[in-house]
Amino acid sequence: MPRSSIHERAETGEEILVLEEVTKLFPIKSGALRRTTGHIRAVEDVDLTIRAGETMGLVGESGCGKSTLGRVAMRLLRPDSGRIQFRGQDVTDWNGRQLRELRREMQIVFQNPLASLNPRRSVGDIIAEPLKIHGRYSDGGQRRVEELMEIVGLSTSQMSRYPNELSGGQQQRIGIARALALNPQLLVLDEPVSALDVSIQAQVVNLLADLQAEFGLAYLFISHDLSVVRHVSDRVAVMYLGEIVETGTKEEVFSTPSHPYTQALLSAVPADDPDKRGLGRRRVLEGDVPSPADPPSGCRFRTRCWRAEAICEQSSPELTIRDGIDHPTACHFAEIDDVLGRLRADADTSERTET
Amino acid sequence: MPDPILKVSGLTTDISTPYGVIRAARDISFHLDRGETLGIVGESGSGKTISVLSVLGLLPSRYAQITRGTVEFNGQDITKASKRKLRKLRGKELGVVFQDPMTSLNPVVTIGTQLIEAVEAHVGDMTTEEAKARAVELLSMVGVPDAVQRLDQFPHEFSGGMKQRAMIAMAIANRPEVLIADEPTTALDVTIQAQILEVLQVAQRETDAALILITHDLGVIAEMADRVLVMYSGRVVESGPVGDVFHDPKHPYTVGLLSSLPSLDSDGQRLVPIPGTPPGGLSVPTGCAFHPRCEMSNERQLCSSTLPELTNVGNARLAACHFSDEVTDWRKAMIAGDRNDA
Repeated sequence: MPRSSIHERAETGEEILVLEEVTKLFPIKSGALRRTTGHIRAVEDVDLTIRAGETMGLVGESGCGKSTLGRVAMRLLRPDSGRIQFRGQDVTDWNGRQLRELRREMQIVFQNPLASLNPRRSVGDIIAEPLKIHGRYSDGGQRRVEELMEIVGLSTSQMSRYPNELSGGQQQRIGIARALALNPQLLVLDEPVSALDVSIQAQVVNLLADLQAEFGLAYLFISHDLSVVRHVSDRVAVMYLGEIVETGTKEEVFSTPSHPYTQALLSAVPADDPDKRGLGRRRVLEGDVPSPADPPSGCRFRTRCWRAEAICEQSSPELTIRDGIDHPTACHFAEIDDVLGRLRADADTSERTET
Repeated sequence: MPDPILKVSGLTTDISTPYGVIRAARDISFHLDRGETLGIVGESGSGKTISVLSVLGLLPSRYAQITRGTVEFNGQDITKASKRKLRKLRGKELGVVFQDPMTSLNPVVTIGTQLIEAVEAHVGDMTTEEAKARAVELLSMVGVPDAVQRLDQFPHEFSGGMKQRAMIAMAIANRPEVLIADEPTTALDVTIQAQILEVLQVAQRETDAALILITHDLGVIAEMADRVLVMYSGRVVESGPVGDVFHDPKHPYTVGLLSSLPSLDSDGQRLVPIPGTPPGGLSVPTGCAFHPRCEMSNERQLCSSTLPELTNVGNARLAACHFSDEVTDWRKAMIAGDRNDA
């Protein structure tokens, strides 16, 4: 197998990362003997494709498995079953040196910038580390570090500072510079702006867009924030309790959502304009997400779904194209409902009748 | 017009740190009318929580002092009130809901005991049965199913959303006149957030309380508030009816906040962030604290030399900007310019 080919840069639009029926379970151990007594079904049977140069938004609530899926995609975790292909190579069982090669092409940026930066290393050292690990530092590494700092909007005078001396936004820029050091093709961005204040969040979102345009990067953008996901993504996958329930282009998912969970999620987002407030008309979901250790039979969303019927308990709906819907959705009763459009129309017709 | 239930004037709070004294709230003035919802919005460190903790008398006196200003509750200044008096006020006339329900609830005491305690603390003659019945009623009001059974459970048996419901039940236990919620939904998922906001509205309706809602989330403000107070670097920089402030902000910082926000409704227009970062409490810029980041200031000398007062800009609106009359046109030009770029 010609390993070097993963380093060939993919043409824009070419599939670079393909996950097939990926499952990741975490054992629950209990008792004095720490015997495995069950499993957290963090990710189950997930298919996902990321193309060169595009942003795939992965959205879902806490505990839905989106971060685990990101880590499996990066091969930071090994899936329990399923295959992962990068640039046509099956990387599912790679380890050691092979994985290190893979890391050159795939990097990750974490949510909490301070926790993901070594507090006892200077900014320059942190950004240089990937170069050193891959034996590229001796040849112009210092210049590359300066270049990276400029690319992400840090001043090179900050090179000898320590992470805690910088603001949250600047810390996140360090994380991004480090991820870019080896010139990867794909970045997994795990809630990259969630810890930042809105004014800073917008700076980082714009930076990520600029970097993508300049370097043709592909992003797996993981976030719970639907507005941010809509803003950055080309395609979107919605996760619930370890499964992808709906996926499609940004327009398909946001303008023609067909899975009840997607619709509920969209309608739960607060309005960005007081004239559009719609709490009274919103579909407020009842109850909480069930435990991933013991997910409901059949459709996992059925316990909170207002459309659930007997079949939902018996058979798990496949993520597939269904009648009248142009993108894959995993609901027996999938039906398009433009939740956002409806809220907007309501806001337009009802003259400001605030309480 | 009736007197406001709460009137804060010139409230200034200093916090001692090992690095020096931080003036965390500067000259905060606002009022709260009966039954209304006032949103206080600002980024981390803007002083929104400190201001409200000062109002409640909940700051640790070793480190924090109110150095100036008054807080009139029902016409009485409570900044000078004794701890005992304040304690009586809180939990009865002033109900509070904090951000993190996990740390606000006692983990080793059942929800029922904590709720009954809140009910009994402020009511003299109440039998245990009555208190328990009231606790059940409260839990049901905030949408906790099987309230009777739930009373005997511990906080860890409640999910995040359920814990926050229990906190709200506690806060409204004695029909407060003012309900203060500090980032009540920040730790929660969006579907749970929608539930809790609805519960807050129900709680407010049931008790006729005025609500102060502190949040960094402009969406929550847009959804809930009647009036809004925008804070930056320890000061109020703008206030007014929520629709007016969102549609025609009069302070460049408010403009920046709104343009930083991606919308769920519109596609991929480039966000317009505020450049730079908020100042730390120890190094507040001279003049207007926002001037180093302000793109409207254009390095005008007045901005860096003189602190702009919070002044009337019409229609029950206040703004603390020397050039607030320019903001509307500047914002329009910015939005138009941005469209042309794209």
